[in-house]
Amino acid sequence: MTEDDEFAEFANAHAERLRNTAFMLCHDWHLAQDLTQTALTKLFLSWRRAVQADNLTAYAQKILLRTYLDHRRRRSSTESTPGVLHEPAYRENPELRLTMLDALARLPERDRAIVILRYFEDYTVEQVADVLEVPVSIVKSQTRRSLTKLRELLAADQLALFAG
Amino acid sequence: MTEDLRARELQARLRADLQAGLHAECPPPLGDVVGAAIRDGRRLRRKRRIGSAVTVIALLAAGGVIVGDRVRPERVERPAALSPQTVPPGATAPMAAVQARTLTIHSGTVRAEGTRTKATSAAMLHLLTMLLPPGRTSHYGVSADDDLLVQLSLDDGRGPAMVRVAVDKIVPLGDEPPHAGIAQVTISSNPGNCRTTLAVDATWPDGTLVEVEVPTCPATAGGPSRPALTTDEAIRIAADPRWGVAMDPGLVADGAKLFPAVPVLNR
Repeated sequence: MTEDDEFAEFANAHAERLRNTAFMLCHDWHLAQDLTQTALTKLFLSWRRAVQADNLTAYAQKILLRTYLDHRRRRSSTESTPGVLHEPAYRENPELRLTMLDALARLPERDRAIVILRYFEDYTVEQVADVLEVPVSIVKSQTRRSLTKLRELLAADQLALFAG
Repeated sequence: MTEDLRARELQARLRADLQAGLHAECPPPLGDVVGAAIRDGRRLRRKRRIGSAVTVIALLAAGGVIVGDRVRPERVERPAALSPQTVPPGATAPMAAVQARTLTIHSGTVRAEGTRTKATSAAMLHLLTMLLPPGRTSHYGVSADDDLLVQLSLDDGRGPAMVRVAVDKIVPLGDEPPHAGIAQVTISSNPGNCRTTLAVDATWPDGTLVEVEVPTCPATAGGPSRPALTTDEAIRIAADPRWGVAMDPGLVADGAKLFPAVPVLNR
């Protein structure tokens, strides 16, 4: 099996998961598709180095995360900030209740990435710190801050999720 | 409830909610994201190699090293007719749809049947010179690696301009049955980058990928060169069914005679 065959086998097995992660980051299927393809292209180009990694899946996720954050950085000067949620509106009207993904989309990019890596990808605090190249203490504090923010954003019946 | 238990419960419930939210989104089909990544990756890999080669050549030139003409073949005269083993491509590719990003082109024939032999860079140069519009060709170059990649300069009287062709066999993806004679052609234009001003890819059902690139980088100081090919001409070349990692033995034999030695690009 050639290196390209090995890459194709890995990519076919993980593309769906990578795209799901990308979607949760950007909340846009088309952009998620583009981010996934870009990340896979970068992985293809660094395949020889990638296969030396202890955890190839985590390596691919790391590339995807960086691709997403790079994309956000490039677009930040041209995009408007997402509108601030009008809390009373959705609390009075259940039809407007936020889903978890909606709430996630309202977190800052890096905070969103931390929540997704911690609670969707099951990464440890140390692994998240490695992927995002930030200190462990930052991951912990931003996780706490993100959960607090999510609790504020989510509708009343979902508050139990965080009740303790 | 201990802090640890609360954290684990939170994690489990948050994960379930994220999964449910994702499921409710009804993800669209994944499409050929892996195949596209492989094609893009291979193209970028070649560009890196060629970029290194161009740098080396420029440094050699700056140092006054003369690249001998001895190994540079003379202009190849176009054959009066195609070899009998080959079939000309259809003359009516859907040029009206050139504005589209992707075209499906019926080549007018099934991929050449019969005996095929391992393709060579010389055979690729031979086929390319047959497919190009009229003009003088020179400055031939081939890849040093196993890559089937060739480039040349075409001068139709308005100055030289480069054409590059690469052939590869990508990993077949999906379970789609082969559709003989149908090539998926993708046209990419990037006016902001002289290396990728125009690129046309033709992908065949058997995984054969043909890439025609029309860069416009200046050979010397000054403005960019004109494109060597129009989009229609690049499409016609890319969609020719004679390209492949295995090619017609006649093309391979003739190519070896016409291009016995060609400068290597990336050494």
